[in-house]
Amino acid sequence: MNKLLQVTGLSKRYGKGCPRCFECTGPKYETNICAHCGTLVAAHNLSFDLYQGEILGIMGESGSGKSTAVKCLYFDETPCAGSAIFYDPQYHHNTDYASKPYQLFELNKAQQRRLANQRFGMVYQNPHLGLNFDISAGGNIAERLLMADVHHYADIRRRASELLTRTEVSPQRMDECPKNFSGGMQQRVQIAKALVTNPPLLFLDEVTTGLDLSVQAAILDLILEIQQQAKTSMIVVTHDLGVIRLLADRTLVMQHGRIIESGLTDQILEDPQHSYTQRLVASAL
Amino acid sequence: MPHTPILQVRNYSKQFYLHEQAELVPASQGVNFTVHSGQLTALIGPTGAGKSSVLKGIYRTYLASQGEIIYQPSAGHHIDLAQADEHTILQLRRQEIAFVTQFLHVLPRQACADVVSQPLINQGRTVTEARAAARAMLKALHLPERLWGLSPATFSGGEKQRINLARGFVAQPRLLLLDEPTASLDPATTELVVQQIQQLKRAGVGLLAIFHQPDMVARLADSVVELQPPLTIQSNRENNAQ
Repeated sequence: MNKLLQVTGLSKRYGKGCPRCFECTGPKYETNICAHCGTLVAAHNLSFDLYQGEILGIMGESGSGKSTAVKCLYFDETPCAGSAIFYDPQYHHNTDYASKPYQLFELNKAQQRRLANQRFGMVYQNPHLGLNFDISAGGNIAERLLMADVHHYADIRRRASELLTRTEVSPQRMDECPKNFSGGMQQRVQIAKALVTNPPLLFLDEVTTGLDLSVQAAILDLILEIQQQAKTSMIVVTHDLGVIRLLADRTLVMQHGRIIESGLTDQILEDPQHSYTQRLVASAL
Repeated sequence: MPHTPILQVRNYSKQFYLHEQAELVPASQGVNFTVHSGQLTALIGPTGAGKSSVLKGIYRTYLASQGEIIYQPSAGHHIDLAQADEHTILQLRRQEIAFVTQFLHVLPRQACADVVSQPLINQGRTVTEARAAARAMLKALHLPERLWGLSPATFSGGEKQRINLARGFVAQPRLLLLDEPTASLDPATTELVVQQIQQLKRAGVGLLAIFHQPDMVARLADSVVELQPPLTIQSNRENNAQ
């Protein structure tokens, strides 16, 4: 088992910031707004790792900073401190060389776009963020392939149709726009789009929130199946304990922008240490 | 085959601190024993003695409050399971330590043949191999073939327990933890399970099992560890009785 990602000291603030932002926010003060300058400390000093083939859950209530963490890693947001190293397993095949490490936050924009497009996948809670609703489902998927320098029209159609089949969207609907699709199907198209470049790392941000229970179940089954077949590593952000229980090998619990607890998922659920996690688990069961 | 120690539990204790109630709840206290390869260590004692807490501490579903849980893996140096990093524990769960809990927790939409073949797939076997071994194990435990393709969600307690045991047995782990393996089984099925456990012992698997029936202990155990409820719980009970 090889390490895929190492995040150290990741912090993100929204606002002008002051030297006292970090000392007056967090679980102890029950807020993530700085009392001195009003800055929102969305995430502070997050450190965690992810191994190949592993699913890491990030759990916490709205505003706890769990989405901020993945948005920084997917380059949607720029962190104000910290480092993240991505060990690309692509450079591991048939050699004894270590995987190629990328310092994610030190790359230029073009390099970041290339990684986000080809080596990472992202599925957002809001399909508007992941899909262009005015171009066809196939076109959405093709976008990522074009950026990855696949230009042959027939290849692109074939690959898009393969992915839609795999995510159980009828390829006959490839030329329809996602605005005509149900919520569950929009998520499937997002997943197809994320997977089309075979990324070793997938970010899932509340992907089942707001969907019907049966649709949720089908999406979760699909995610598990992908993980089994392709050994894709995933970071799953959710406030839903059921999703955590089902998907995650390990779990981080966040509150007010901080990681308050981390461990094996069954341990977090059966032997939570922090008072907040104990309350959370007790209210769910 | 020589019986080498594969697990040594030294002074294991577990307490839960409940923040809401500001209360310390003891579960296990000062537990010591050794599990050898090819042998079965039985954990016995009254309800509340902390037997399950010992198994969960070894599997790291619980974080030990005190003590060491020294495991000798198939390769490399011994590991303190109470302290080892999470990746090491996950790796051991995939490869060599299995836990059959009292109740079956599975995906509600998975066929039992898939549930049982999963541990073999985790070990790196092909799906075809894993399915074949899973079917053989379900057959050995006399689970009717018409049920193999169904999800265990609607099964009876005894049927679920057979799936649960089949999943633990099939991969021949190095260390197998069993929480009341025969509690919900009829006498005929219990016999089948006894045979499987004897076979695992012959294959060199080290077993740690919670039993409530003395005849099971007599037939299967090579050593017996009797646990008593932690002292504070006893004194609470006495207080309540007064």
